[in-house]
Amino acid sequence: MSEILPFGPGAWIFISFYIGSLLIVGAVAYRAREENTLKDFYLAGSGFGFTVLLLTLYASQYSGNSLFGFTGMTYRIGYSWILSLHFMISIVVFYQLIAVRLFRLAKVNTFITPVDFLHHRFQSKAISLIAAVVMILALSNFLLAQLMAMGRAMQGLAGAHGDQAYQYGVVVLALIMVIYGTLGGIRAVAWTDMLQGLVLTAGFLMLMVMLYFEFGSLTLATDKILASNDASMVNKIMPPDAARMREWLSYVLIVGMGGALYPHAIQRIYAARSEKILRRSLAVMVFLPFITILIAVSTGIYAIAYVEGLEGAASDQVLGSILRQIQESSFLGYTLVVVLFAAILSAIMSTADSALLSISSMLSKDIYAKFVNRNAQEAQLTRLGKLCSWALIIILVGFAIALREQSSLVKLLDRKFDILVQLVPAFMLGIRWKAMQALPTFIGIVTGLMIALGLAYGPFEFVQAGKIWGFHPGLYGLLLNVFIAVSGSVYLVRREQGRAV
Amino acid sequence: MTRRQYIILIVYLLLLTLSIPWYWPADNLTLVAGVPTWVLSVIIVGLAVAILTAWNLLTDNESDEDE
Repeated sequence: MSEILPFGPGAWIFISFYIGSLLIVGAVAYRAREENTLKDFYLAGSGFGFTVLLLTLYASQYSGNSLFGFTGMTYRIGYSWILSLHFMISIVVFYQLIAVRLFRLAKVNTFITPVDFLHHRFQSKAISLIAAVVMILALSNFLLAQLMAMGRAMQGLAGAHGDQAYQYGVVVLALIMVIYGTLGGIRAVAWTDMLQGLVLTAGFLMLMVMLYFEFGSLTLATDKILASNDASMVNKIMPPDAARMREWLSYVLIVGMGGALYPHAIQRIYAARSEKILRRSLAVMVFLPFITILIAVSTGIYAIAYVEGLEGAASDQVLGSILRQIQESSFLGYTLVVVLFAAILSAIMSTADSALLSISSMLSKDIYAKFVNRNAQEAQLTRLGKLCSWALIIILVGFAIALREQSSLVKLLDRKFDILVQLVPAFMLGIRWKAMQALPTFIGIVTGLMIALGLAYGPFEFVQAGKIWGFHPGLYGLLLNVFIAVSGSVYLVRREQGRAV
Repeated sequence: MTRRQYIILIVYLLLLTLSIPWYWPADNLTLVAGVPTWVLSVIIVGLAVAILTAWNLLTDNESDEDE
């Protein structure tokens, strides 16, 4: 957002009113609580209806990255980033393997966290612990990235005072988020997600209208790119090469499986009021990428045509450059950019609050209650979860401020899908194949993690741009992980049958 | 797996194969409303995946039996 013009007082009043309304929602959610239990705090007691469930799933799946990162990627590689349409759809495709069965089991066994299912299925402390650690690490990094995105959004609006605005932005927005999150739990988060999901949808649609009025049709933008003498620009219109197509398949698999295992999304599956509502929400959710992704990719195409010369990390800010042009064109353009800015904040905050709540539930229920104090009462665990939220946000705000100039370092740390997919056999096979055994599943997870992280961070020349032959390291780890889990389970079952005979 | 699940799996694999635009010539430059035709084909396949998924979610009534 560093390209955008600073906002005037009217815009700040609008933004403050919007942010303030999130606190009001938190207070209302606090009053709506039914009992002081983990189920009520993390799963909203009897659960969510269709509209809330759909919008909270939607808002927590699309982060700040959806607008900035996806527009930036399209600016760099062109129409080939339409692959993101398929990986967002594939998340729902993979949900079909687990969502309904997880929901049914969660209702019968009162699951709170994703790890509760693994504990129920495998009765293995080792699997529960490693799964909790993997999910907490993956989500913490995701949360840190969202906090930094909040700071950058504010920094871009403050002109000469950008440095201070970054710090205030991170601290104030994180504070508001943790207040409404600890007041109202999942109710506050889901209800604010609903508000944020509506603002986000309006923002995306508004962006498309703004682009049309400012730059004309997409045909004009494409014609302008094709008329360019620069071969690299024309290439952005052409079909992808073989390397990009391998990457395409890799993204569809890793984001599809990893996204389906986002802990906060699994908790929303638990929180559906009924199976019918869950099925209907997912059936509608599968079409939402046709709004968000197509608009993000179209914006990137407009940017290729009308914004010149951004390279590397600066290209992630190309949306800011586009918005500045719209802002300068008219008062209406300025107003629309203010609303879009609220949508961007929505996208960031709705992802961050969901991640924060999910981490706090896993720290209290999966770590403290299982390994530290097995006799802890529900009220005690709920209180501990809230404390964890505050402690975690203080630590991560510190990191967000300390690492503000180290965006490349943060990207390096961001291997969330590579590690999350190592839990695919435990969840997706474990829920459908009763013969699957705990020991090979655990060994598979450990081996998969070692391979994924070893390949990602090791000094290997064959790893290029974080991928091997276009495929994410996590998929190589997953391949061996599945082999160990399946072959080990078959071996153990046959050995058992042999003994019985 | 049931017969229905086998058929759905095969259709998904077919759509996955079609979702990656390997079958378009590298120099294809035909456009429809400013959008390259290869992009439109990717969007149409995406729509087919979404329709299949929604249909399966709304009509499937699988039990929790082992597979």
